Amino acid sequence: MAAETGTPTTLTLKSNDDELFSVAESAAILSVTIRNMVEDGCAGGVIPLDNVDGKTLASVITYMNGISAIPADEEKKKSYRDKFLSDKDFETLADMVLAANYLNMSCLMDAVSAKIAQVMEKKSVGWVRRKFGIENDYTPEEEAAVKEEHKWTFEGVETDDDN
Amino acid sequence: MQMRMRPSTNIESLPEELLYDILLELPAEDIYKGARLVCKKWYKMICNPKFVYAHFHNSTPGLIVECRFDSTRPVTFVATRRGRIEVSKFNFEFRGVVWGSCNGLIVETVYDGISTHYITNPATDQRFDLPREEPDDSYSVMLFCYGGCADDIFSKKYKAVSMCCSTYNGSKIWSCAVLTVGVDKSWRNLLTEHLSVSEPLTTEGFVHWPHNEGEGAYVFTLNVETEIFTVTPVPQGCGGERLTYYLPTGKSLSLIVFCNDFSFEIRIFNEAHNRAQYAFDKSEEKKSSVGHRLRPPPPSAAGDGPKVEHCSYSDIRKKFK
Repeated sequence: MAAETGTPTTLTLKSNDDELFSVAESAAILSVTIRNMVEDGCAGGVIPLDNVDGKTLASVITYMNGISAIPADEEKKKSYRDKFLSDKDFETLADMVLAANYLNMSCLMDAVSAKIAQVMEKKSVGWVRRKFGIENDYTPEEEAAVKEEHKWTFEGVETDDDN
Repeated sequence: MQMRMRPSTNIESLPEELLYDILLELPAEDIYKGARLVCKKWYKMICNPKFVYAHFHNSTPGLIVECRFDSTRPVTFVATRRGRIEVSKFNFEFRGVVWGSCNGLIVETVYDGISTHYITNPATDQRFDLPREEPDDSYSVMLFCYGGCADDIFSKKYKAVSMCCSTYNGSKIWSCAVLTVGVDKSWRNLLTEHLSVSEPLTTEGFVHWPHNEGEGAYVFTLNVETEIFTVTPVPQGCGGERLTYYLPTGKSLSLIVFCNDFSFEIRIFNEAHNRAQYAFDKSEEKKSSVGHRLRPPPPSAAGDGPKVEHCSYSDIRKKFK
């Protein structure tokens, strides 16, 4: 799989479905969780990552390698992140935010959170409920009351019959 | 090999703190029109004051632009989002003139023989009436937030500062009145003699009235929290024939002195200086006298005098970007 060998130190990561990945230590320590293990000297063998599946871990490692190859240039890193996330579907994004949280990678987490929020932008309540399979637990009266609470002042939110 | 089968990840299966981070990234209009109506769990999360505060600090700062001379023009909001300047219509009916804002709250004034001031939250359509003003009419009203620790929104207090003009013995007198929002029942008049007709400049927690008359130029400053006035002399060589320009730059007030076509001298009144009660200090004039344009400020002056910074044109662009 997405292995990068030949670098001075490589670590072996194991996903929760027992796939093995080797990754350069310099890239892997973007994850604070892994960095702490390295610093504590317990990254010698195989590092088991119990909360991340193989498909997601492969993605995260692609990201680690990609972003660590970019020198300290925030603009370029940002455009890499945007490009990296642009073709991910919602389920992948949700898996990635969980993985990023577990691995303690704040830059990836912020980017994925923003990307998920972007999916919801300018969408109607009904769209959000349908898309995410959320059950409406308001009674019609309660919903009307919440709507009346604050009348928002911006225009441009699409109506219920949108995409 | 053990395969762990699990249902596909959805937004509902995310831990609450991750959902919280995602909702924080939503623009306010989407939260109010969409997210808070989705379900009760989301509503609870969004209506928590901690969320409101965190969202406020995550939001895009921008400018409200109002054309006072043509009320048919809509009030607009100008901000930079994702690297681009966005101008959006402010679909909110302001009752009067928009004077100022603080933390998203707006002060507006209706004049119908007597000034009436409101604090408006256009996001929630809530209005708070400020007590009516006794003096003739007010010239401008500014809103300030002060006190409290950064993490505790409930300890924050708001003060409104009004500049008003009264007629006394046939001549106009400017005065300044302060009101602690939610505490004071009426406006409290503060000192009057040094105020000028010039538009006051505001920085975080301070109001400044520059007096730019030749070599005796000074800036009169009100610390809104302590209600103490201070007089700061403008260093010699900055007034007079040279073209000067005051610019509130967020936390501090800057004085831009044009040296020649390509060079400016920038002097910044720093916060430490503003906090201390400051008397007219002759020695300060000597320290910053003409001919020292390229000299950095002496370390001893950093705490008690205006901080002097020298910049080329490109530096200025960086500073005020």
